[in-house]
Amino acid sequence: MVRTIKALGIRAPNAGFLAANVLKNPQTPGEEVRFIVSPGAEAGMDTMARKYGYTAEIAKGEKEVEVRMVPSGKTTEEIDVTGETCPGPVMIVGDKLSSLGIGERLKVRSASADTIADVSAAVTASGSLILSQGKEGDRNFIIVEKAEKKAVAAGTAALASKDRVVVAQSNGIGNAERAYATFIFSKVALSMGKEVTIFLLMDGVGIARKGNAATVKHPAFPVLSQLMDEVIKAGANVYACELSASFRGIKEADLVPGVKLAGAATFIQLLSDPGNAVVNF
Amino acid sequence: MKYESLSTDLIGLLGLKGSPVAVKLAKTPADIPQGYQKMSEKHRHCQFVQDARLKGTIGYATKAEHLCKGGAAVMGIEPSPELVADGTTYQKLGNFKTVEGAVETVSAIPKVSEQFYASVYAPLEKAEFEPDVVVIVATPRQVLRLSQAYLHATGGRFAADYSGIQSLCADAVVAVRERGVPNVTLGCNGSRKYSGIAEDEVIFGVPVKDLENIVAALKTFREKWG
Amino acid sequence: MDITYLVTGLAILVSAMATGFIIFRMQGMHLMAHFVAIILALIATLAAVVTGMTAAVYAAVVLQFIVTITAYTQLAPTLKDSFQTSPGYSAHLAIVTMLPVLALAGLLL
Repeated sequence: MVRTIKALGIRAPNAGFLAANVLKNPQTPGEEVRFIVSPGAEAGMDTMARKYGYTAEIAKGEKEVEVRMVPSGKTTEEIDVTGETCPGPVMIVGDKLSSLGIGERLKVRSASADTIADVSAAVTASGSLILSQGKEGDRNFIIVEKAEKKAVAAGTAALASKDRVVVAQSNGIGNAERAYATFIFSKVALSMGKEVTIFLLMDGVGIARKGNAATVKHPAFPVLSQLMDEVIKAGANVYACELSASFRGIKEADLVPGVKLAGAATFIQLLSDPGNAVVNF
Repeated sequence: MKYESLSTDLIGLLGLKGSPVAVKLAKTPADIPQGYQKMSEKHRHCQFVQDARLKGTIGYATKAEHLCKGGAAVMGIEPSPELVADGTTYQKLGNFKTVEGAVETVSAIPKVSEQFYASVYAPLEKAEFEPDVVVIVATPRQVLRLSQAYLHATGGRFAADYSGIQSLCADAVVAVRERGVPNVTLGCNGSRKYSGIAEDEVIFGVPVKDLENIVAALKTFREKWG
Repeated sequence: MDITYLVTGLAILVSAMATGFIIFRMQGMHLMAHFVAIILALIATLAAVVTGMTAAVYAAVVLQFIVTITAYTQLAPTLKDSFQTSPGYSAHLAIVTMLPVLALAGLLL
């Protein structure tokens, strides 16, 4: 967590004395403290910070200066996702971000500018901020600061980016690529903070029959049943179309745990809700 | 009571007039200590502090009980009055030459970022809650000893900041609560005029967690310096 | 023994390599015993055609049966539930299903 202390109006060197006393009395060990001071008051703070084992990161604004005291040795976390293919980078970054506290930062590097662009889209969609971006040698990078997703004002909800994703899947285990796409896509959506609903219909209900997904295995991915299990555990709703299931002699008891039978009305409702982004593979 | 001995020690070692005052900001009615009543009269925050200090008054004050809107506002109990926030009030009162100057001070006044239901007061020895801050009204010499006692553990310099307005509310309570370190402030026109802060008194606000070290240091000073 | 049946079986197995590859991709590049059986049956049938050795002929027949059986056992979940996608498998299933009849014919007639 990052603690913010507003100390405007206090000039140097007094701002430094205040900061020194605060740093000597951390509320939680190893915490980062962010001081907001008036321009000019940051003078001397970096030397003082070093004395107490902190590194000062100073960001000058027009009316305020932000002095971030980071315990030295605890540098901004960095990950390099070069060589990972989508959805690898987005999910690795998403996982790492979820382990950080609000206000903490992460530097993401990759040799591929496209990957960085994809990651940028994912993190901003979940409310985090991109503080800076650039290129170091052959690596492109962005610095992400985790922020809370701002609640959207009621009236603008329809115009804001959709928070819910519905995946309609009418293909079954006979088409491994489509079946994998259902769950890999869902995983990425979940890591971006979206609510995910999967609607299996026609051949798709076969994916949910006990034992079927376990027969689907691509060399580059875990067995399909494992991915499906992870997606269900991560909170996605998975429905199997009642009609398609009965057509194929599949009853609710034949479905893997976590999958529910649903009727056409459920499907129609999911499709009609303007807050749902619908995709089918 | 949890803080009885700390309070007695402070009063005894320093020769304080009245008691240190325990102050807490309660987020919801559920955070009010059991049995505590609303203050019977509408008063300013600084008056509530003095009443607890000199009369032993215990209680809490919601928006309705706070007479001074400036004090209630920095403690998040009320929204800030428009004319205070835009500088007009203080500029008219004569504190600042220009409205811009007034705004610069007013925008730097320590203010909490959340909303609170009420402020709670009790003399420290009788406090049945964990205070956010302990406010000690004392003479300069007593505050000197308190500052020395605070620095005794790790040294350095004491940082005191004030602007001559909103002393007991912003400087002594809010600043200390938000920063987690003590502050010294010299009162203000309001608190000196209406709440009886005397000619020879100033204010020391301190987080309750620092009191143990302070009392220990005061005892050392008593031994070494008499 | 009329070699025509064996040669037909050989032609089918060559064709099955192509159709087999296509369904191999549909199944997620999942290398199954079935595909191994096709390769082994192809080698055995070729050996039988070229050398005419009885052992090779019997091996070819057995392996051809295994090709057909494994096609059905391993595609069973798909065939059972995937009404829409099953047609994509029909070319491969059609030709491997021809193998047992031709194999038996080659043996008995």
